[in-house]
Amino acid sequence: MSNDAQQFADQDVRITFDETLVGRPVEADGGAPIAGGQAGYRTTFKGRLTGRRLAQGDPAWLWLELGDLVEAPQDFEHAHVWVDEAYVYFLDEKRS
Amino acid sequence: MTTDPLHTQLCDEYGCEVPIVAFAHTKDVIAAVTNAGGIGVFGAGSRTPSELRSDIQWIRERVGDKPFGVDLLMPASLAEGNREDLEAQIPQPQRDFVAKLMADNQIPAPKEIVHGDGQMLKHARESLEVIFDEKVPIFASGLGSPAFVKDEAHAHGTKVWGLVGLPRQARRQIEAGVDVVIAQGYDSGGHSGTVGTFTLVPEVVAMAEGTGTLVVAAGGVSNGRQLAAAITMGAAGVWTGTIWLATHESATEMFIKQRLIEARAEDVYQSRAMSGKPIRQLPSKYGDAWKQPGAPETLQMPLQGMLVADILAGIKEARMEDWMTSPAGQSVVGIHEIKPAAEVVYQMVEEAQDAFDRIVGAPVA
Repeated sequence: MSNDAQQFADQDVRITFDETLVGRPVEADGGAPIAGGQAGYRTTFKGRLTGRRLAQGDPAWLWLELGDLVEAPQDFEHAHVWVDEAYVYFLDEKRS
Repeated sequence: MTTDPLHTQLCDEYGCEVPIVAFAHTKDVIAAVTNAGGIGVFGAGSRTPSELRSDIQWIRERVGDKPFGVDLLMPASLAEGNREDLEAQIPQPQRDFVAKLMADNQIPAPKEIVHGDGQMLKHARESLEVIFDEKVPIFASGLGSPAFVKDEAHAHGTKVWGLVGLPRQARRQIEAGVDVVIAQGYDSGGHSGTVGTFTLVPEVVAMAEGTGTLVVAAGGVSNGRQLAAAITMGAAGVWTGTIWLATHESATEMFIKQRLIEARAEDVYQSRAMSGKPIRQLPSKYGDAWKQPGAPETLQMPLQGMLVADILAGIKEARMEDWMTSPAGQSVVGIHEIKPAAEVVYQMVEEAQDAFDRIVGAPVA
């Protein structure tokens, strides 16, 4: 799992665990702004949920932690990635 | 009964005279377009919260109660890792290539370089607070989903727009009840999706039918014929970006404006050389260098951005014109001269009216 203390220090973050999510296969549309610039990038991840959910601020901005990555950008060095719950698509449902 | 096809639901709901939305990083363009009857949306991705507040107040002083918006690049994924660990992963051949580029071409090391501090969630939230506090009419998210702040935005009188590149993203935003989905096709500038505008827009329009969410078409739009086509496809208007870079009001460097005029649609290419992700942009010596035989592969995000931060900053500081670039869409084909933003609006409207005239065989009222 990720190094939360370092990554989310001072960002009003709460992390909880939802057992019902553990191991569920998903695809997620990720992306982020490029630091210091005016452009961003989009990318797709595919893997299994770890069960960890992150809520930031109020109203809560919800994120799910994705591991066992089978699709990620080439050379993506991380074992886990947090993805916005709004763009997570469950692959074990007929339609998400 | 005669109706004006250019008076869409976007005009009814937002009070604009024409359904043309201009995305730009220069606030003068935003004010000019809004005052010409469209809707200017300010790209504030690189602004601090205090700068953003000043920008909003500056725009409001010039447009009064007319509609305008602010666009933020909300993140959609967050990867762990600190800067030191990531820098250690940059391969030596790529480091050597960049060092040689700088030495061979007298590209100076930058005096100052700005690194992100990794606190994307916090920064996004602070900017949102400014937008809501200032009661900006429109908040647009140019990347991640804005759904989580929809209710808070509405409580402050702010409408929520979300830009999408895939039908499944559009479905999620429509289900969440965002006010406008901007369906952006492949031909757009910057980081575009993989689906063409003509394919994406009708599909998203069909999804949104009867939901109350409006659809605005984006990607490759630079003239009135395309505006008419977008409305015919069921969109409530168009979202445009590249076309405003070459207006009088734009802060874009003059030599970039000249290159925008000269560029053909096929000249703007997608390059990974800036960030590691494909960004459609004007050609430059920097982008070309990464395509030459013997050049190493570009790295993935975020390593490529870290690798080339110094060389890009050095190019910019030294104003090396041939080496500088700008994100631009295939709609550069519609840029023929530098003119006032209002004139671009009026011309687009006239062209759209002509297009509708040709369809119905009579002038549009």
